[in-house]
Amino acid sequence: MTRGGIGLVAIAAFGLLGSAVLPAPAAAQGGGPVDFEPPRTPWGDPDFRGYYLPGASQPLETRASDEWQPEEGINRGQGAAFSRFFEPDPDAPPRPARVTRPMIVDPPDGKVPLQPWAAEQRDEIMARQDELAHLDPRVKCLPSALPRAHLPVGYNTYQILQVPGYVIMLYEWNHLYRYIPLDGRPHLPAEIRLGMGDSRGHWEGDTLVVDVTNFTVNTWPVGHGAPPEGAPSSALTSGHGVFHSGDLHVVERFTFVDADTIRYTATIEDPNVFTQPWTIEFNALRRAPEGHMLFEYACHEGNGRNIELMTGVDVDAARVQVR
Amino acid sequence: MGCRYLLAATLGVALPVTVSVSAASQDHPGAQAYRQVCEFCHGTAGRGDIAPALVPFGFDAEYVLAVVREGYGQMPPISRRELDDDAVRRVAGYLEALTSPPPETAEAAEAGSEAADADGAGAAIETPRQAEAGGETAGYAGPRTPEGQPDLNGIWQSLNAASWDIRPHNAQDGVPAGLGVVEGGIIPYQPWAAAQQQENYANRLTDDPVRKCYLPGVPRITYMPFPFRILQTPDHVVITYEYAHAVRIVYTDGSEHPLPNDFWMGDSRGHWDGDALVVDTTHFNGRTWFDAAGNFHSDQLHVVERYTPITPHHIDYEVTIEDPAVFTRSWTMRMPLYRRLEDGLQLLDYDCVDFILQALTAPEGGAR
Repeated sequence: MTRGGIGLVAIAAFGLLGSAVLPAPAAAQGGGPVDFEPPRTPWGDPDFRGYYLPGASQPLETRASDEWQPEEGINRGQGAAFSRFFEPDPDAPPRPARVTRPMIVDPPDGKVPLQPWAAEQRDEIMARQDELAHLDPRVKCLPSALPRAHLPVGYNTYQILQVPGYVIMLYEWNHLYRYIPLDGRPHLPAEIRLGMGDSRGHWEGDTLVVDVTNFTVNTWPVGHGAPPEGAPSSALTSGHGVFHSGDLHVVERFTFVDADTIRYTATIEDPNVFTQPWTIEFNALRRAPEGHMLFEYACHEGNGRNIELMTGVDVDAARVQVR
Repeated sequence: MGCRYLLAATLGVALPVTVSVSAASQDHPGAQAYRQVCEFCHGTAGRGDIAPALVPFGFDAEYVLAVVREGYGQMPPISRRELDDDAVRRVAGYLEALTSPPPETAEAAEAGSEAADADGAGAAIETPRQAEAGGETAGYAGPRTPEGQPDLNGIWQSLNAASWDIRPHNAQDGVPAGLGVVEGGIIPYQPWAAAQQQENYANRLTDDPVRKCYLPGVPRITYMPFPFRILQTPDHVVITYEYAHAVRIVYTDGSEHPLPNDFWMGDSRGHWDGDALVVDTTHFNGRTWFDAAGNFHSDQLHVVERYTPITPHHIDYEVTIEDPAVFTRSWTMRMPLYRRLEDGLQLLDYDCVDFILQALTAPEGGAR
């Protein structure tokens, strides 16, 4: 067993373009129909089982402080051989450049459509990252929520398992998981709240569609990488500081675009925080090399120093009664 | 209807099934729904086909309902739109009628089905001990996976007071009394370790790693008062726990423990020994306890768990503990695990990290 491949994440780039021309972001990753016919499980569902690494780094949003313009000369990979990530093939065409278009494909300006008060609140949150109440929930080892759990981070990997009637996703980061029932059962009662939300799935053709509600409110729906220290939220492209209410509703779509790549689309709706539903789309999951496995990611257990900095309490010390 | 969950694999189920299907049972009010929804996979009159036989086991109606809604192993959940609750209960009555054929009149068949509905729990699966006494069958007779292993898929929980103290103990404020789960009642500590355990006990409210929301380790997480879900595939058994969304991935593919790394939950490798899932766990970091009473171990802990199903909804859970740095010999814990049967049950959250952070930032000061 090897941990495998992680060191290559930084240099791996996405082979996600069939065209050098980008008429619109939504088309850039082939938002339309996909030709690829995925393998099937013995019971006939598209077979998503396996281990996956996160997608390559890509901005989530356009800076609020300026208009996003597609840069000339980027994304000219012509669909370079994606399957050669792990064993570079000298005969393969050049890898595509790092993707610089934002994940947000709707609204077309690539900006998180925050209501004015929520944009102010986001500024406040990002200005007070040295306070526990405002600190990035993932730094506190709270659940990633969605779609954040699928945004690329270098030390996360995924395992997808399937049995008839269920898709199960395991996340290495902070040992999160979710069972996705496919039988059309209703969501949990509104009183019940889950850090990863309550997932209900169904198949639309070969696409897995997951409807997620019942989120807790102590998480952020997006945010990846690490924001530049001191950057105002208007300058961020990572989604940090965007928050949600208890009415967050996420609809996810998982579609194979080739044997090793799953395109991920998520529509994020929260009428209390956003002016409209917004959609991100990118290639979020790429198959891990043979022999990959998940390891234990004990987040909170290793977070004592962070907690001490925030609270002045050394939780690791023997004589502290925390409750 | 077609079987949308048609299995390519042939089921390795060889159960002695001799059922005479009476005309009366075919008129049973549950027979039609059975033929429409269940028969394609489970065969004519529950005799088994590509899915296991359903007679002559006498599953009680609420159990059948739970399995139908929740799914079981390779069997997917079936929605109320396809088969409503009353129809499922009628199917259960039909299976019961097939299992215990009533006198050959339609009237009697209906009466029999009502009796089964009213007193479904009376139709029990034989335990091995009962089977020995009866001399008919032996061992586990419940559902199996296509590979022929007992099907442990589902949500389980222990039901005892071992989480507070694995030894016999009296009640305290907030702590239920318990007879203990240690075989023989004695944990064979080395003298220094017995003293350490007493110190741990005295300081348990501050020193118990679980009070800091650290991962509880193995086997403690099994008998904490939270459900866990077993997901069984041919080369993995994944156990997800409601407590702290902990996960154990038990590889049953014949692989070895990895290079030395320490884990809070250890590294688990499993295999099947007859009908028992045997899980060998090592590579602990030595920072977890066995319970809230300070019973402890070192990083040399070696845990061997045996999950032996005795009915479709009971597992005999036996744990052998070895730690030459702390104990004078190996010792054993044993308890039943129970299948949770509530309709629509799923694991919820116990994310104690949030509770800790709230306590630490509470106005009164959560830390004392």
